Amino acid sequence: MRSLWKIGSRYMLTAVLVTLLIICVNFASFLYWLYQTQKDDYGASANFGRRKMDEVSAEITLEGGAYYMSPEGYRILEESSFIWVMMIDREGDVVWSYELPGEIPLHYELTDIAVMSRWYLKDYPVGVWKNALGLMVFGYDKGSIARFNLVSDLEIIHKLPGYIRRLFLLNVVVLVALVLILAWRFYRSLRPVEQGIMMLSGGETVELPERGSVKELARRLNRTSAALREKDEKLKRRDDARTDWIAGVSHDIRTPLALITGYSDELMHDGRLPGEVRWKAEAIRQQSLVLKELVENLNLASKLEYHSQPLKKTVFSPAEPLRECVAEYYNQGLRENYEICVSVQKEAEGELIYADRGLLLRLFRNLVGNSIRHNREGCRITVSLCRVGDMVRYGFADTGIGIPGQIVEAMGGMAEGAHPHIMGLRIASQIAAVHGGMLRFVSRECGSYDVELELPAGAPASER
Amino acid sequence: MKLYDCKILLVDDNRELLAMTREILNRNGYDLVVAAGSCREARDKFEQECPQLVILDIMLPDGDGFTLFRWLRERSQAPILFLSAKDEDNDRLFGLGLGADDYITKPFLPQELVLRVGAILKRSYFSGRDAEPGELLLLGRRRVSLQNATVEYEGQSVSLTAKELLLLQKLYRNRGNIVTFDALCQAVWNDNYYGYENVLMVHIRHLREKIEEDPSHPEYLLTARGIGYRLAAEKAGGK
Repeated sequence: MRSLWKIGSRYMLTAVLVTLLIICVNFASFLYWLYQTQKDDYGASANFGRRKMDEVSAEITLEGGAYYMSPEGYRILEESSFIWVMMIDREGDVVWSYELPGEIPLHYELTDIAVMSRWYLKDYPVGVWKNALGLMVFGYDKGSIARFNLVSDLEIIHKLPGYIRRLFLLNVVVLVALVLILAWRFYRSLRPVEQGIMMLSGGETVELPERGSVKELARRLNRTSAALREKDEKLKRRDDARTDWIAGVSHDIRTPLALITGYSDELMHDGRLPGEVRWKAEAIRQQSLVLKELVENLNLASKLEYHSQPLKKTVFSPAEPLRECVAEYYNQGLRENYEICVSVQKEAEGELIYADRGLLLRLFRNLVGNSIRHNREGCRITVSLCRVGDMVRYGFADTGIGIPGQIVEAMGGMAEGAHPHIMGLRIASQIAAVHGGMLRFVSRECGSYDVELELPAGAPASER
Repeated sequence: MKLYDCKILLVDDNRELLAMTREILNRNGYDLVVAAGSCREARDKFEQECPQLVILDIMLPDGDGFTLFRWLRERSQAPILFLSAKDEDNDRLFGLGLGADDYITKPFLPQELVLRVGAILKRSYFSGRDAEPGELLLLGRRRVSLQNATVEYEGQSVSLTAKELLLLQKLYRNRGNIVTFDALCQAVWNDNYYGYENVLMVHIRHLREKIEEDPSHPEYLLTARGIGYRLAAEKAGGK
């Protein structure tokens, strides 16, 4: 909606700018034209070449009863657009002329003068200029000039500025109204396209009506949506096939694994067998349990990767599964050379999170289990919980070897080839990601790493 | 009837697994084990043998374990334990939701299966015969009656408050194991631990004053720092 409003306002702004530009260009052209008409050598339009008439009139003199035009006067006349000139004295007789056509009379009454000064003389447009000696009449070529007489009521002239202002205002109103209407139409035609793009970005299927000014755009969006849907379906089919295959293998492997675990356990506890055989049986049993865990991890990792693991989110205290996980390790008979310390910040104790409790427990088991598995001589594991901004942060550190740099590189995809021992951490990272959190590796001085997990704090009001 | 006289019907399509499970049960005292490799065979054996417990796989060649479960339930209230390679939460919840007594996923540890079978049989057939284990608890020279909520010591009797009794019951049901603060608060106040930190500590102190010789150095109600509390496991010779 906001983006569309932006488009609309830009559209309006552009329309206003274009209009202003046209007005400015027109005004500039008008000024230029006005300037040109005012120039002395510009034809006969506008002021009838008043300056030239004035200059020529000043060059005529009366000497000894005869009228003379100075050479400068003739030069101006030759350069001007006048084709003939005559001078009429106070009695109405032509006393001097220049290139006067034969059809022009040589005597004039007052009425002739009055008519000529407003209209034409024998179809010649003429300009009349008074000087000290009489009246100079300047003739232009026939058909070169149009003359009009404008007669107006004085009140109208007085009101003219007001009319102009109102006219301008009316123009502005019409302009703005037109721009608004056009912008609204443009906005309305773009609205389905915008919704289509939003739906497309949200992964939804788009089927826009293909009509109006955005018909072509709608058609292309529909085509893109269909192509994306087809691609998604293909990917989903491939992902489903992969997840199903892994789930199937994981299922099928369990029964033979049950036999291996069961029989090796029986042999291990069979007191009639020699110690070495029992020791070997224990090794088989141990490895079958490792296989079991690997199969479970592989299955879960694949489901998390392809989003086929349904999240059963509930609201609970973030400290609760942490304590449960640690208690489980102790209750299952944690060896004495291990110690797990739990430290929960008071502020975090009162916090709630909205997450899949089972998956979170699995994540904690993976991280605490890593510390136990990779420190066979024993170690002290510290799990902590605190609140940092909008997140709750779990810390998992131990006094053992920590997580090697190669594993961290492999987790970040920086190491070449697949690392075989990162399944547990990868699952932990995936579980964090599906909850909108992240798993972070914190560097130690010795070069290895500890782990921190951050999850969004708080729970939706509807779930509390 | 004794515990080990109970007849167990095993249903699984894998013959080797059937043989192994039967062997495990036999070795642990359950001599009366009947095996079936399909739904049809299971129905026949069930009607012939009337077992006291059924261990049921879900994927069977001629049907699924859930349907067979319903058929069995219509005819008998014998406890049923699912033993399946299906490890999905949905399957487990569905099985337990149908009314199964337990759900174990393959692969399993033999001892775990034996313990769970024993627990189900005791719960189903023998709970009324033995004295309720929770009724009397001997902690050193103190005798705690969970039924009467009293602690007897040198001829004197001290009463436990309702909350102390709930705490002790929860700890007793998990004897030997750490019970988290959260689980204790849930059991006693049906609430989260937050806000009950001091209250829980006070109740534990009062409980110690009643059941311990020296409450400052408890022998039975032990603290798991930062995690919860634990009722010390039974010592040999103690109840």
